[in-house]
Amino acid sequence: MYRYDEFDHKIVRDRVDQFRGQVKRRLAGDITEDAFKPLRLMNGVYLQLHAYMLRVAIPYGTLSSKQLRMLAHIARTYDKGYGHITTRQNIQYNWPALVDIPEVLDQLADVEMHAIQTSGNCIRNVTSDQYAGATEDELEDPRVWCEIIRQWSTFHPEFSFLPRKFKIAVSASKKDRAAVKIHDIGLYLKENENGDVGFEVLVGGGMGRTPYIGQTVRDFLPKEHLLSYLEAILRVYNTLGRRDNSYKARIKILVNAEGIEKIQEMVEAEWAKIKSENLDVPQTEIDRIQAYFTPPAFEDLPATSEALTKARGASENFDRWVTHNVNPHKQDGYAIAVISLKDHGTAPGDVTDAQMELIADLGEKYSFDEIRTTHDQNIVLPHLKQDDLFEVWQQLHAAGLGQANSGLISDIIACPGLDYCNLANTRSIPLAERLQRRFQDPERQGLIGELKIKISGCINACGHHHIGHIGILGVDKKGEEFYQITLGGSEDKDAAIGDIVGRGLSTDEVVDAIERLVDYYLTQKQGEERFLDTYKRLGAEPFKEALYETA
Amino acid sequence: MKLLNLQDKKVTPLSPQDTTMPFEEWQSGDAADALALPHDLDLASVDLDFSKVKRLDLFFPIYRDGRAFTQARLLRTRHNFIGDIRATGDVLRDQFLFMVRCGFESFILTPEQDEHGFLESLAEYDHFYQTSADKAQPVWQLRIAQQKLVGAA
Ligand code: SF4
Repeated sequence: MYRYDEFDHKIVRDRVDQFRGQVKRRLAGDITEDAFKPLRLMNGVYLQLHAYMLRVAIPYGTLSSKQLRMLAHIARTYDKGYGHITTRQNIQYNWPALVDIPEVLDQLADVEMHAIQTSGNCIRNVTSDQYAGATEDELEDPRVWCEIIRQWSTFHPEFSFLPRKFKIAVSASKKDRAAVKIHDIGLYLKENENGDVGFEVLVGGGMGRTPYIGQTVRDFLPKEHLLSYLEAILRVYNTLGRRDNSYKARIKILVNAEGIEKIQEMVEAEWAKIKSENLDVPQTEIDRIQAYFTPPAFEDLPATSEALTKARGASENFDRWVTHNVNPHKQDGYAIAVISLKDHGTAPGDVTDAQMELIADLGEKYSFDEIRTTHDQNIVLPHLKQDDLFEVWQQLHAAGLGQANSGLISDIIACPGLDYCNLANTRSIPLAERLQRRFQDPERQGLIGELKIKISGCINACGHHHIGHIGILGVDKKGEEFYQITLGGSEDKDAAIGDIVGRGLSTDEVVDAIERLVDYYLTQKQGEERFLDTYKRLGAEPFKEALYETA
Repeated sequence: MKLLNLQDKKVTPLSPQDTTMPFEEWQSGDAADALALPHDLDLASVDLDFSKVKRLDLFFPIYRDGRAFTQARLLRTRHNFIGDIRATGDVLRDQFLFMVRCGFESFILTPEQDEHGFLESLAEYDHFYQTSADKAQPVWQLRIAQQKLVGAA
């Protein structure tokens, strides 16, 4: 993975000192909370319902064990013993004291981490495929480009006060695990007819109260022009994006108001003018960064492991975990494993300091010191020997991390909701827990198969409910909590916004209603069909009837 | 109000002679030394001749509105404007470095604002990752220069 050189170190250290000064001015009363707000926001410090919240960047979700141990240490020392993995692959602490935050940042800088641009109307942490560099269906490692984007976007002098926040994701696989199409800019690495590798560039995707799927603004961009092209898009957006209404300020609104052809015309015209302005990093720099992402020293192993087959036969729980949480690796004899942070009696994405320590140890010992966080709020060990899987699983299982539910109905994404967030209409986390309890039976979960439930506590859609196979949105009806259901959303290459099916359901009704929905699907399921496939085949009507018990 | 000038790093009271012509007047043909551009003017493709203007004022209605950053950079890189670019409106210490990097050279401050803090903020960073309108070499260029040094030694 990428390592800082003296320049990276200096920039991050300078940021810590700068923020220390800003906090000092605030605590001394030299600046008001109003004036402090933009400064802390640029550094991931929010004021939540109960306390300040600090969001630490995990660039494109890649961590070393040393870094994860530091995150555990911070959870233990400055928070209540846990952290929360977010849908941008970052980690959030809900209880740090403002006066401690400069010290936390200083310690993070020791392990090449920071909180830069994890909030504010700037370019946010770039996200990617959590299986990057390990998966067999990938063209090349997208993290090389993520790191190039990270550096370029850090303290960009022109684009740090955009109309609204700006999110970029990169994927290089056939299957889109990074929800690229719901980003302000989405990048798919692809090969053209000549065998050259470049980017398909999408623009204008996003969640929130007006969700949109990104549209292609350029079908093929030669790789080496990435930064100048991004710069052209950002410049058009910074100039023309709406600033009169923050709900209409994302680039998706501009794209849909102007139409993609007009946007394309403007971006291409701008790019033509700046292409040769020395904005793109040269090949030597691309090579330098690329070198950090050379694959680890894999051993030559047989494609299948006898030890694994034997262990699967001996333990039903382990077998189930392998079925749902273990994925094919590009290297024979290796595998990618998902550690589920769901359905273990805590909020989706929560992980304790002790669990982080354990995962760090496992990553160091078994996974070439690499650990990943995922946008669906789980953790991944990307490079495990199949021979080691049983040993790894036993240790995870003992620590309450052995849930075999990756991609299943209990692998729920939920935003913080009313428990933490001051914009919320409803609670999200308790509903996730109730659903997880209802569908506890592993046998039944396996039968249901891939089903993505996503919950947002308000229209801002931090829980991505629009793209859940089943989406749940919290609404407020005269002071009472209600849940609105959407069906048929997807975040993959076939990305789609779910259909709103009808009236909101009360807290008492919602779990039963979703169970009826799932049961109906099971009666209709043909062959290997997932919930989403059956829904697409039959349409919304019968599902609606099941949901509202009108049939 | 006071004026901070980047060239001599000095603060002077804003003189009453220091006037600026509104954009519409200038467009209708009046000559001007100093001109205030509307903050929603798209400078990417307009064909305007600023060669006789000595100073252009760009406006930050509120710190969050970052359009003037793009305007300044375009004035420097596309319009090759070499005169003074002045920041007016909500000009914050913590955006000062970004403004300088985008090509601003003078700044209107309120009487309470501490110009020393502004100038100190310029020293808060040694390196920058990206090319902008200032003379700073981006980090990738420094890396290459360093490689060459190592190679030569
Ligand atoms: S979706 Fe709403 S309730 Fe949930 S975290 Fe976002 S703003 Fe808060």
